[in-house]
Amino acid sequence: MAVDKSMNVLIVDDYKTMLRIIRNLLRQLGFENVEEATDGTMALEKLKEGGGNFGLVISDWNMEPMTGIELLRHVRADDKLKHIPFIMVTAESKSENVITAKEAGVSNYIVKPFNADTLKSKMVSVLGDF
Amino acid sequence: MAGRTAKTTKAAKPRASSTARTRVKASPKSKSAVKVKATVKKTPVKKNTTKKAVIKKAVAKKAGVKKIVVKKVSARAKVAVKAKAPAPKTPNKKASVKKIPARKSSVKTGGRVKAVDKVVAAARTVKRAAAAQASPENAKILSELADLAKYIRAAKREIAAIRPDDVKDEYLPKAADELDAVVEATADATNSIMDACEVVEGVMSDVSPEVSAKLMDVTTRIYEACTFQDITGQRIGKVITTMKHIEECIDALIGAFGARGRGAKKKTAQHQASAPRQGDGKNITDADLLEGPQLGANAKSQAEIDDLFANFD
Repeated sequence: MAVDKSMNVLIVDDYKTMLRIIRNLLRQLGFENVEEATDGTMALEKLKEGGGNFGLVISDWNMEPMTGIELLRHVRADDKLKHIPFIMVTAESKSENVITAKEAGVSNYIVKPFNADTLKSKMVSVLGDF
Repeated sequence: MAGRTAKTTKAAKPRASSTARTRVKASPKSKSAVKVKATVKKTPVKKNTTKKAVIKKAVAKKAGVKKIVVKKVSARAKVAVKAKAPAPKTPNKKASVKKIPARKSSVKTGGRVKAVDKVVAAARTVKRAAAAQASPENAKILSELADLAKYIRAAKREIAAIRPDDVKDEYLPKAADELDAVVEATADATNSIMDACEVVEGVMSDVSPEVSAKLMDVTTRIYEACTFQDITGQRIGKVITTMKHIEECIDALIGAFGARGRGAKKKTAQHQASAPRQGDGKNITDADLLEGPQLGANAKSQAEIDDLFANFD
């Protein structure tokens, strides 16, 4: 089934420049409906308000007051949100981090700094080919 | 840094003391010796051959005592001695040595007793008590206390020499401000770069597909490169956290050794003596002019520089 590029994508990062970079890369890949949040709490509010209408979440790990891993756990614990693919994009590269994220239900994991090809390949792995 | 500081202050802490009547050491060996003493009490043994007596004789011999006279004390007298109230607080009399309280890390200064001063006071008490009774063990204690005092004085001098209050009040905050400025500058630059990329993307539809694809490829690589700002920002954040930890350690050091004040005053005096005089320009050297980029309100804009320049014409 073809990926609907008009889906809503939520990107979460406390660095505004990173949000802008990811937004621009997503636009280059054809995903225009992008919403932003600067921490896990804001992101969770947007997801709940959206009623689970987001097709993808791309989130950083290290944020306050709610980290990306905490956001992931909340998303996976919520029946209306748990189906949403969740990609962690973070500078945290230790094995323990990857294992923890995997155990929490992450769909895929990207380590910063990353390139556009990596972002695309991970998105394809969770959404399907586009 | 915390570990080194802790080790330094722990090394300065004297060994726990005991009452003047019992052996002064608090090592596990002596604890077991106390236990042995308790068991020895129960079995009837000759006074001259008790473990305590044997140890005393050995220590005395080592110290060079040639003749040992064993005092005969009746059991009744011993009980009477133990039943006595705790020794009075006057310095020249036998005093029960107070247990030196555990060192509390003291961050507060400015009038309060510093941790190291408490150690010094306790050491003086032990010294007075030990000096009141001449014995080889007490001679050893006195010698160790003298070494301890020397160590504390040397540590205080060394700490004062590095001027910890200057480090805390001037250098660390300056460094943190500069790092904040780095993060801000790189964020501004990254945004400017992306603004330019978005303009390029905007004209892609006006060119041939081949050129458009090339422009797309180039702008993508620029966006990828811009992710450096996130990484550098995080690394700088870690450095700032480390600096905060260093600041806390310095606070603890100042609190424990009271090395505040002298350094700052000295530096102020030196600074005033050597500061280039403003206005006449005679004392300003080339080295004095090298301060690097200014922060915040101190930074002059190009327009202000141009005005200043124009005033010289």
